[in-house]
Amino acid sequence: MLSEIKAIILKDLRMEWRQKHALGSIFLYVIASIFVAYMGFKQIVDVPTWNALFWIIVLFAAFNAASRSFSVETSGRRLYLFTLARPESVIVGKMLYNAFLLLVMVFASFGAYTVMLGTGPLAEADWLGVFLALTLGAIGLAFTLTLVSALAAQTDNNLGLMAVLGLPVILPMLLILIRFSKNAIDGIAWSQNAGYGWQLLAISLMSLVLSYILFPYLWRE
Amino acid sequence: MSKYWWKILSALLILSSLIFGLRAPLAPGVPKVSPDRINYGVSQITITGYNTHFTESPDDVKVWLTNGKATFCPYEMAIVDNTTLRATFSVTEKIADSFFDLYVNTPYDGTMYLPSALMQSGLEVSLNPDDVEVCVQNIAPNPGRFNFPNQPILNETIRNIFYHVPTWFAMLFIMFISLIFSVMNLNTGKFKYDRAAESAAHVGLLFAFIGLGTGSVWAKFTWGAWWVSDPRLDGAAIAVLIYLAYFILKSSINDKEKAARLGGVYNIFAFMMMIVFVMVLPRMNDSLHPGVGGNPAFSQYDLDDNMRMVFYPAVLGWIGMSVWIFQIKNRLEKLKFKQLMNEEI
Repeated sequence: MLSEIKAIILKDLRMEWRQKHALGSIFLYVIASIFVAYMGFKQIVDVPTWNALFWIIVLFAAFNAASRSFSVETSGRRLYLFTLARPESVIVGKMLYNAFLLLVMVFASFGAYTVMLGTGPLAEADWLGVFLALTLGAIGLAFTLTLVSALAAQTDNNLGLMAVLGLPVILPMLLILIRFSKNAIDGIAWSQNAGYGWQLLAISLMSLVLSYILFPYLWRE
Repeated sequence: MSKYWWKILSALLILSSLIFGLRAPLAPGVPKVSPDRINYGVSQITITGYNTHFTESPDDVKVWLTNGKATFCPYEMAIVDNTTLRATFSVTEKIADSFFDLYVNTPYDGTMYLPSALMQSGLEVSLNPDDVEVCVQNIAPNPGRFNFPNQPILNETIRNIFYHVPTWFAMLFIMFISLIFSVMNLNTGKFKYDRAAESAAHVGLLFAFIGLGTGSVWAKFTWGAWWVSDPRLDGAAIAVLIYLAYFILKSSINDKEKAARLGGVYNIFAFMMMIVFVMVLPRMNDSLHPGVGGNPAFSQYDLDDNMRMVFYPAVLGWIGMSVWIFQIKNRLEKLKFKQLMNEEI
């Protein structure tokens, strides 16, 4: 099982690396969105706006990144994967790979965002909290959206359905995430803010378990 | 007959909750006092009652104010009609608290109470208030009629609890049925379970809209807006979005077997996410709803024994009614499917 997961992650990494246009398009999407925000706002000093805008940009980039994870597999390759690996390994491998991809993307876009829209709100930030919000946020978004992308990939209207199916499912997590990261940016100590962190972790774990149980039903065709 | 007993029972329960919930009066109360300030010396105030019967026994109506340990009785009182009475008070200069609580007692209505009815003006709030002798005697006991509590902001809208809350319970129940049918469909691959899951989701959505409607009207009259920012309302809106997405997913796939599989997976995944949000999160963040974020729960103050006698039957009745509607809907879908099959042949 572990070796299967490892093989799937390595395969996805290698595929992504060989098709640099796909990887590049995700990053360009984030950078372009941030640039649009910069053109619109110039500098944001208001903490709630700064924080919410960042997570909204990340949310749509995450949709874009996650929606590719199953639609890139052609039906022939899907059949080949099916004969090679157990479905549980496939979904866990894809989730971990997506989490890795989103972690890189979230930290990169956080850097770009602070450069363009100003670091003013971060003056009193609790850096441990901000770091954990970015990490847990990336993992949670990746875990929740992977199963949705597996669902949407089996329909004809992949991108449209991805948004329709994914947004209601991701909203609860996004609300906690925005609250958690706003508290961290406001400099509220980790001991006061830990509850939101645990909630995020719990939701991520729940979607991991649910995906593990449900994905085999999607995979067999 | 033995098959239908629960349908008859739930119809009777709903009917009785409608009759008792709408017909039983609100407890008598004294919601309004004017002016709402009291000065040193003589001040006359007008007390407006609701559902009160002051003229039943005008000689036994008692009015008094309390402030700390002190009690003040009027030295002059006039009953205008059943719901209006004027009282003239004279209070001491040094008092313990800025606010006076008002009590009215009649043999017919029992004791009515308005906290912080009057605010002092021109008096001295002191740690050593003037002593006043106790003047209230022979308080009539509460008559114990069947009525609902008279709460300050809720007023008559308190009856909505019999219709708003049970629809949410019914929605959660029917959504849970939908979840179970989805699990059965994934395990057996039989189409009839998927049809049942979709019918149940349809009925659940209907109840969600009823719950949103009744809640919206209630919010307008108590909180002042049709829609307020509140975790439980956000949860309700997300629940509606999730099930609309479920129907879109199912209708976008032409292959019936595939639609059943994908729909089942999404139903289970989305239901779990919704449960986390609707049940767990409002308890962690602040909410305007009772029992959440420091607000008193219904079981503590508002839901007294008289209300329980209507509320619990209403919950059972609406849950039974939702299952009944679900059965009819499911049978209708089955017939439509059969008709479609015959046409194709």
